Amino acid sequence: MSFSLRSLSARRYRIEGDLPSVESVDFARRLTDRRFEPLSPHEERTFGWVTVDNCLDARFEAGSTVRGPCTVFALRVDKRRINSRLLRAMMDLEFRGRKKDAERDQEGQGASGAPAKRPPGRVSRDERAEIRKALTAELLRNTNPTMEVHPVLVYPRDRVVLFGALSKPANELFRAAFSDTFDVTLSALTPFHRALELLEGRGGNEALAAVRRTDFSRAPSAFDGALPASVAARTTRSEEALR
Amino acid sequence: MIRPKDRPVDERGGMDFLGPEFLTWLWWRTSTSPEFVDATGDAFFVHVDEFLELRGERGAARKTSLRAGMPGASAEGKVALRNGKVVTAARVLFARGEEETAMTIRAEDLDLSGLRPPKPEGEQAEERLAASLAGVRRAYADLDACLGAFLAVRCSDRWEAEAEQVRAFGAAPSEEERSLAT
Repeated sequence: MSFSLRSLSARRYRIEGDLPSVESVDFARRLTDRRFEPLSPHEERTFGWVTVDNCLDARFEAGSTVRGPCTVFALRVDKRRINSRLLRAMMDLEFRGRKKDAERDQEGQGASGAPAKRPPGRVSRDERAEIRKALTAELLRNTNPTMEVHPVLVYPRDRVVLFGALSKPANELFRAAFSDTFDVTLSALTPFHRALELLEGRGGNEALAAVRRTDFSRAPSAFDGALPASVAARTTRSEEALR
Repeated sequence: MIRPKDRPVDERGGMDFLGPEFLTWLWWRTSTSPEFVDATGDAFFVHVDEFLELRGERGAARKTSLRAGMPGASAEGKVALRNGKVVTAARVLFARGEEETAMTIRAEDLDLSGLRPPKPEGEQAEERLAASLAGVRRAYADLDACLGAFLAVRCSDRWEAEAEQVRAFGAAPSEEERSLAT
């Protein structure tokens, strides 16, 4: 099983700081230190680095991630999510069972003549929290985790990283994990950030300072003459309302 | 700069419009002069293909999505541009000789999706992967070349004249409208 790149969806980041050589032992050691570890029975989420060839393999050696012009590995995220509806249903069944038990006990006590302490089936807040905790743990144990694996392409010569996912939570997690692993900062290469870099020779910020939004529309002059006045007035009003 | 500790820095620098303006300009530029030059001086061609999304300032409430065929030549695209919408996503094709790279560019953050590098050659899987990774790098370099060409005009006194040409492009009948008229 090996990684092949047929199609890629990615966000581009600039590496700010000193990244260890991708062929070095240090690079592999850092990945190993933050490698993916499977979820423990009570955990809801775990993440870490795996090899790009196999999401079950988290062993890294010096130079093992290098592929052509870049180094490639992957971020694996496992999540176990409790179905809140199922949890509520289980809690409801638990309370019903307790209520029945309490009623049975009370009947027994009534026969023996002892006074009732509180209405049958009433559960205190602490008991409720305890039941919830126990049921949550049980559900977590029995729920299979979902898995996400996102490729990470590092082009060391360009000081660029491509992260193979576009969702906000995945990108936030990736940035934090990458920064934590390699002690560097990642800046998203948005049009603004890339423009600053491309315009560096012209002062970057200074070159962009005077740039204001451009309006490309030409609607009024093109249609004013063609539309009856009443319709044109209504069109203008609705456009203003939308703005 | 003082800012609340847990609030991230605005990575778009308060210039959310820069990406959409770039794609709008690219649409016009590719329909009039599709040739660009990369950092090494080699020419490549850009073509807007299959998908075009335009939005107004109000976002999703004023969105026009055009799929399949040649949305760049459609009447709907021009009408949206005339009415003040800008291109927020486009599927583009970078062509260099026989080699073609297709990708969808999202304007706000320059995210690329569905990037398909040219089919790699080589007998070994490793060779093919290395070629694909080099293709991805070249695609980003080509994108930067287009962005560089845009910025060269955008940050100069030539911009107003160029923006006027984009407006004229929007106001002119599309290929679809012209074919219907004949």
